[in-house]
Amino acid sequence: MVFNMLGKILLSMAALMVICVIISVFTGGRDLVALVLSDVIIAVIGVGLLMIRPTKASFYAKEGFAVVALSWILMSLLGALPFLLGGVFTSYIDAVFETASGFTTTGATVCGAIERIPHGIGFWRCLIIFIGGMGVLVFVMAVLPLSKERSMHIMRAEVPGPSVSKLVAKSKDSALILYAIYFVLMIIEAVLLMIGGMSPYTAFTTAMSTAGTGGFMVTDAGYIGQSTYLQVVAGVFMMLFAVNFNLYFYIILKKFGVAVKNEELRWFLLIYAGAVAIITVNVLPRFSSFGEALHHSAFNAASIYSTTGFASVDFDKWPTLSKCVLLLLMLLGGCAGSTAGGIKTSRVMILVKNGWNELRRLAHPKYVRTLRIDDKPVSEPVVRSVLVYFTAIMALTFLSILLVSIDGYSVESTVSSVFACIFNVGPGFGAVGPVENFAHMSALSKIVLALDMLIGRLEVWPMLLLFAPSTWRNRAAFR
Amino acid sequence: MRIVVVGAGKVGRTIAKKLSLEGHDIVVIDDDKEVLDRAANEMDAICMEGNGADYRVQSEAGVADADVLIAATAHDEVNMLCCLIAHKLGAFRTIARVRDPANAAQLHYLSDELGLSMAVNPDLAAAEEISRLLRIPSALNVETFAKGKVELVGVRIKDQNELRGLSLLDFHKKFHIKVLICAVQRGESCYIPKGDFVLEEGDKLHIAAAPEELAKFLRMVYPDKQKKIRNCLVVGGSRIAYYLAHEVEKADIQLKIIESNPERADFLAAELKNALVILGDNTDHDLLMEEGLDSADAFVALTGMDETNLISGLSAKWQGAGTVIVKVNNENLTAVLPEGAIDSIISPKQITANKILTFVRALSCSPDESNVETVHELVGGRIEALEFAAKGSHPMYGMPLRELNRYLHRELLIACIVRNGVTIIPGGDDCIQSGDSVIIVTKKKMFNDLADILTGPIR
Repeated sequence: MVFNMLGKILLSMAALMVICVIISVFTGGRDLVALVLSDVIIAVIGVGLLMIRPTKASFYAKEGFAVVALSWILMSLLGALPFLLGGVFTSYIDAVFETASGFTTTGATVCGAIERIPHGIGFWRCLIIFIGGMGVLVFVMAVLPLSKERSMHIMRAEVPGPSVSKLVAKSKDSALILYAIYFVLMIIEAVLLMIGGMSPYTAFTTAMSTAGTGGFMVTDAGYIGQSTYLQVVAGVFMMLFAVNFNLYFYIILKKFGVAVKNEELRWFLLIYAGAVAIITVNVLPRFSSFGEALHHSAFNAASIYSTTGFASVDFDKWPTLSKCVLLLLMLLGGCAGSTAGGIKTSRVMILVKNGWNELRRLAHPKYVRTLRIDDKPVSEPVVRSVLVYFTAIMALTFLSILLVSIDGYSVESTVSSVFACIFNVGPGFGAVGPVENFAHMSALSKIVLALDMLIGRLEVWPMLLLFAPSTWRNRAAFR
Repeated sequence: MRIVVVGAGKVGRTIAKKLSLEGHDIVVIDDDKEVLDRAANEMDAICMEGNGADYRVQSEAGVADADVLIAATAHDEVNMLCCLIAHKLGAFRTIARVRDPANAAQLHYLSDELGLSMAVNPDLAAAEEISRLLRIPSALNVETFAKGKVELVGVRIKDQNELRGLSLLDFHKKFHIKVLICAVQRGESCYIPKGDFVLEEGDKLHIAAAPEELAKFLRMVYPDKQKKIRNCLVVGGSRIAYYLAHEVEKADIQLKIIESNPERADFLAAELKNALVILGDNTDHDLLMEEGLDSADAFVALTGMDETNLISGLSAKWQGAGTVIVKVNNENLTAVLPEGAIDSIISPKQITANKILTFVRALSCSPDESNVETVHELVGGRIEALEFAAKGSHPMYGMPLRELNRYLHRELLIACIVRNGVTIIPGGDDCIQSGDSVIIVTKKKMFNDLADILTGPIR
């Protein structure tokens, strides 16, 4: 069953790559051979996996996690083919890093000369962000008939956030609704960007990149030096894509009350407002007017908090306080059920409230209080899973920092590079700042950071379970 | 259809899962987080935590726009309240599980207020099933169609049986009886047999026929077993036993009920005039022997404990009791039993789920369509036997089955046609006509309308 699913996923991926082939044909076709060849390879492997007849039709939590983790690794390995065959990178590790960065919506690049990438491959680079943002398996679920019974295991493993709620009774319909909302928002942004003077190619790639909160651009300068209008459009949409998509569904259903009263949304906006205020005051001396300072701090805070990773100025040159605020925003990430990375605002809420309750319990040992979010009690297992998740991701963060530090960069660069990757942000500070890239890092660091991106995007457990020996002991179960 | 199921217990989960597999939008409500988590993992449905009898919870679950509300909690009163609230909120139809005889009686009285379309009593349904089995002792299971005009029984081919080694063509030549073998279960696999199919020892056959023809056939094939059941030993004075006593009242079967709780035994003794109630430990082997375990024509285990039921059933079979029927709540336990160790296993949960399923399927049709009247599952749910009422007009009516066959799905059999109260085992020259009851046996699932049996339109 697992191989069968992987085959379906690869075939879906091959189908998506056809879009890039078409674009390549219309834009000169320098990369046509590379794209067609990659497409065929992926499709052949996909068909090969489908040929393995599933021996078991059952699908449980373990298989769900395995499918998700394996498919993301496989997609990163095979999605790198166009970059390699098209001559964008000479090293396979670089190509895989770039692909993983795209699928996980990180947006950390190892490419110095982005404008020289042919349009077909350039579109693929942003398309994988768009697909990775909402989840590849959710996409497959929306378009292909899957085993209906246990689809929740997949949803739960791929959709970010502490708990998953379905919008409507059927997983397939839920996935379709989410993708429809996602697609429409992306189109609106692309149109607004085109009104601001962007070419259709740049507008659509940028819009897909924003939608997945990824951060790849098709120009070397990125958002630095773009017009204020374009920056405002991107800034607003980065925030929109970092909000729980379920809220848009409520708005469509005209349940505005539910959407406005959402506690996570309030925390998200309050934290954002606080961060913007601090940074604005802090960077005021560097800009000619208050308005300009507010504009840039608002844009870059939105970019980092939504884990997109665009930059309107080189924020690496900002004072330490502002950079620390940005580092904290990297960690927080957007809301659950959005395309953002990070540990998600709702988890932060649970951590803070739980900490506060524990503090009260020290003073009143018999103190009984349930943790409430949106005025509904949060069950003990959810709180526990959030605590364990936080511990695990922090432990992995520090382990990665140790491994990356072998390269000998400054502490600032090392720490921020790991933060930028594991929380799917993109740019860090120093040697990996917004005007720099990751190309100069060693192969070991690139592998560690690429794995970090996958761990961060899939929220630790699928990846960890995949490496647990017990998952592999009974390999027959994967057929 | 949008369906809300209140109560994610055994029955609720079974129903919700089946309905969701049939493509309906399901919302499951329960206040127990644990069973709800289990439900969420098992099926593609929205699972809501909350009290299903609370109108706020119900309105959040969208009961107002729902087509059906099914109340399947363990408590009659809660179920009735659920239906009352759902009716007021605007649910189109409501179905309640009601177990207490007292409540069942007043349900008719209240059905308008509750907007109740159907009341299911799992215990009563189980008792009806058991009484049918007692009437036909050689059958492992008995289902009825067309208001009893057609019976579908399961029988096993034992050694020394003349059916062994017979192909279906020879079978009809030999017996000249209007019965139809419509499904065969052999080990793990099941077949819808054709003429060249050869029967083997150990096969479980599902045979459809009119009751009188069936009785004739069973007398020929199972001469020793087809004697009438006169006395029946029942262990456990549960509600099913109570209903069973009422069911077999007319059938002249002497019921002996062993109950360990004195109060319950008193109650049964007062209520049941034709049954012999014995107070005693129902696991006490000596007592069972004293009451004639070895000479009983039938033994029925109906205690609340699955384990007790299964063990005492096995022991009764060992001691030489005739037909052994055992009730289980959790079918997982039956997987460990060797094939044929116990004659029939009754699951009130499955019976209830099937009843509700049939009802919901019939609702999915508009009134002029040929809707499902009855659904029975065979071979652990892998084969379905459905009864349709042929209505209106359709090109397939009047077409000889010989020709119609080309348009039918594979692994599908038109088993019986009931026309004006007469049961026809159809041959190639027979045809379906408007007004008939048509019984279909199929491996494919989810037929809602008689026209669904065709692969495409008839040209």
